[in-house]
Amino acid sequence: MDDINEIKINDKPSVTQKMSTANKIGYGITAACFLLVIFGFAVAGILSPDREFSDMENRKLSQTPEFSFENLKSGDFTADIETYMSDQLFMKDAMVSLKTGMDRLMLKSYQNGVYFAEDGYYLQDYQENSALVDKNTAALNDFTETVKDSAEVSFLLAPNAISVLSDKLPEVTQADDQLDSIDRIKNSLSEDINFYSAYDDLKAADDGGTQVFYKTDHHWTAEGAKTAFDGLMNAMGETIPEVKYSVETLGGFYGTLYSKAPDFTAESDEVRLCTNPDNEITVNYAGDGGDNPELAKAGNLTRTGLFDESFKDAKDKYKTFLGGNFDLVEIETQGESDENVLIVKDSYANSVMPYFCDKYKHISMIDLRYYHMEELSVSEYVKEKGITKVIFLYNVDFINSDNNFMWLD
Amino acid sequence: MLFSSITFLFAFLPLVLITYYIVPRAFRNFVLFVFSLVFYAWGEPVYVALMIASTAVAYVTGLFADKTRGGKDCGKVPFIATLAAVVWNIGLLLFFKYTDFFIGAANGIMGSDIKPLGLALPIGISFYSFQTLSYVIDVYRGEVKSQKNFLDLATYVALFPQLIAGPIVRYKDIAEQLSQRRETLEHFADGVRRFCIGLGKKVILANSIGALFETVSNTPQSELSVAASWLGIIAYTFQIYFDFSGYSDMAIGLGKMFGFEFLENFDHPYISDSITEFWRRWHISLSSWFRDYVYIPLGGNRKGKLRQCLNIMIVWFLTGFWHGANWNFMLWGVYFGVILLMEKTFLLKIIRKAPSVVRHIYTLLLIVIGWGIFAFEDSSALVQNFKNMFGLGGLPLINRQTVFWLAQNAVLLILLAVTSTPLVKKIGHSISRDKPALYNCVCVPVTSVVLLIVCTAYLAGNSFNPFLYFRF
Repeated sequence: MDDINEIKINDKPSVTQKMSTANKIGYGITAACFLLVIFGFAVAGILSPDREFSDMENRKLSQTPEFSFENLKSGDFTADIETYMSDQLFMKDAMVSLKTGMDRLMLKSYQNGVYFAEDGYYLQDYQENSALVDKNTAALNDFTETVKDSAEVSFLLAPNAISVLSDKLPEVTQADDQLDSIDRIKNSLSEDINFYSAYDDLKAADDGGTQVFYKTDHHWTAEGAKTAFDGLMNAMGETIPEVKYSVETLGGFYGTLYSKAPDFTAESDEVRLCTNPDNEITVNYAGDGGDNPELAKAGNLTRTGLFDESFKDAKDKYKTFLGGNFDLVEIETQGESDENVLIVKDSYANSVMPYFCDKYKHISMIDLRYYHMEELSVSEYVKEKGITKVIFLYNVDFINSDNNFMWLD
Repeated sequence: MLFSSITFLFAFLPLVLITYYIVPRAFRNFVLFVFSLVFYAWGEPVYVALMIASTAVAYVTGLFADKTRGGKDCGKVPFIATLAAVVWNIGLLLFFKYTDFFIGAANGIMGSDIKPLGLALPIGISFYSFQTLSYVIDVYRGEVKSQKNFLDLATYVALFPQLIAGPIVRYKDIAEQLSQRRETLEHFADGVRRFCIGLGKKVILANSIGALFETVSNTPQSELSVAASWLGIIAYTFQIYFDFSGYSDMAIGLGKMFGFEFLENFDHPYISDSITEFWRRWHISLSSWFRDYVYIPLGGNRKGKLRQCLNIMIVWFLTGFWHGANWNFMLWGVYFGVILLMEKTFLLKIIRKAPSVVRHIYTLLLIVIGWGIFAFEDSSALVQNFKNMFGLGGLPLINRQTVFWLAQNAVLLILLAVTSTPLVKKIGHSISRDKPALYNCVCVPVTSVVLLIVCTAYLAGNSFNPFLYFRF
């Protein structure tokens, strides 16, 4: 480049001159563009207000670090500034999406634990942890042993999208087959547990054109949940209540999997809320633990439907179902059958609850992630409350990764 | 502070640029010096004192090492001053970088129980020690005048573009630029281009492929395959080149923005067709430093074949050891010393007759094996990796996991292979020759800004962004 200015074309000095002017303009453009970007980001970063929380990444963002000489000496202060600058970067969400876009441009179909699958589905990777699966299954067996004399025990096992929608996965993956894990669980489960895997029914529903999983979230849709509920009722030999639901649809839902690999091109999901207008429901947030502390302490709330209005406009719209996960929730309904039912569950159960509420009058939900050191152990709770049906409701990923099953004792 | 960080790009760099260009010329070195101290103190608030002390020693010994000072014979003073500089710098390196290694080695050999010092290595110490050393020696040799202005010398030592990861800029190469340099728009634009290219090499290429090496080396033995262990070490081969040469590009680019010209440090080393050539293209500022300050003073090739062989082995042992206080780095140096000796004595004559493909395969294979030694500080991991690579690890040739890694990184690997060659550079040159206006007004600004923004996206995504030279 440097040589160009020195090219001497003796008989045409004007050409050289023109070239060198053009080059000079070029240098100016390069310098100006570069300065515009670095000063632009710097100034915009100062002017734009700091955010507390990133909806897109679903995490708290770091705030202006506090200065102290201690911090400065240890290097913590400068490290905090680095995180602060990077968290509060101007147009951070767009930048993070651009990164995902670049990865997809390089034909990466896997990022941060999720696959970019066909039809806009994010599918969460699955690596079987056999030892933990066995341990958790054993915990379910042990618990069943202590309650089987007074209660009938059933188990609704939900496969995850990666297995039901495996056709949509990229050609080459590192994922393990969930069907193997489902078989593993089934084979080591006690005979006293009425086991139902929703795989076949969900697969059939999907083949029939029903969307059973969200595209951007790891949960199942209202339709998927209903399919599994019907299957469970059949497996338990129960009738399925015939209810005409009024359906409310929440659009623009970008779920947890989207947050792992945010992408410009991702389609949003719709959350459908099914309400039976003739069923008045009282939800008692009976404990005080959970992922939504405000509601956990709310006590008795009577309403039609199980939905927490405050999440309808929030990022995690799946939390509209009951408002999150809690140690203990007790629900009174005008359902068909006057029985005391306990559902020991993960978050997949929350979107099945609208249907359970039309079936059973007295339902308790226990989430072992939060039901720790309570007054009554789970088996004591079963005896004390006169529970006649216990239903485990878990997804495969949860059994494969959760360490709270020991709280069943 | 790292160049590849949001803080550097959107706080430090705008600040230093604006301050540098608004102050009168006479204060510009002072601005650079102060900002360089902040840059250094950012991660090492305490050790900045050490760097200043080192500069002071260089300043004083430099003055006394100058034989021409005052125009009269100063007897042994210059020699003693130079010796003092050598003792100080080597002593500093030995103390901070190598003490714990020697203690560990002594404990291992003699079964003693000496406690290691557990000192954190002052970042960049290997670079600035070599720089100040070269200054004093060059003054002693009369190749350059001693610097009377402390600030100019301090600016040279602390100059943030090259402070923490090189290149090892020699004082005599920029002595004139320190006092009189002309910052031009053309220089600045070229600096922008170089900086953005370097940033892209580091953030887009090196970090991405580095994540693959990290994944492979953290995978349990039972899930690996022969192909995976090769893939891992090939990933590292690309990572270290793009990381290191990316840093050098950024340093050279930043230097240009402030009117400095640094020498090139990398010249497409992976296209070499012999190891001898590889070392002429890899980390040029380091190998020429060892050539000029160790190999030639030891007698180089002037004292007979045997002495030359010995000198080569000494230089390569030291080169290896310079990269880190551990056995694997020594082994790595000796490994290349032996290959270079063999090439010098007979191998080069033989491989010159082989077809070009064979020469390149030969060279790349030896380079990759070299990185296999360099990458693992834990000797059992090092041995295990070589066993795996050569089929002695009881692993399958390939497995599903390996195919997955390959599929995920296929495009990246192709991109890395292509950009390891001078192809892109050649295309750039040919456009700039045939259509200079298009090149300067469109190609350069567009590429630079796109790279800068994409790199920002990569940094915003909190992706893997390691600093590889904290052991140097």
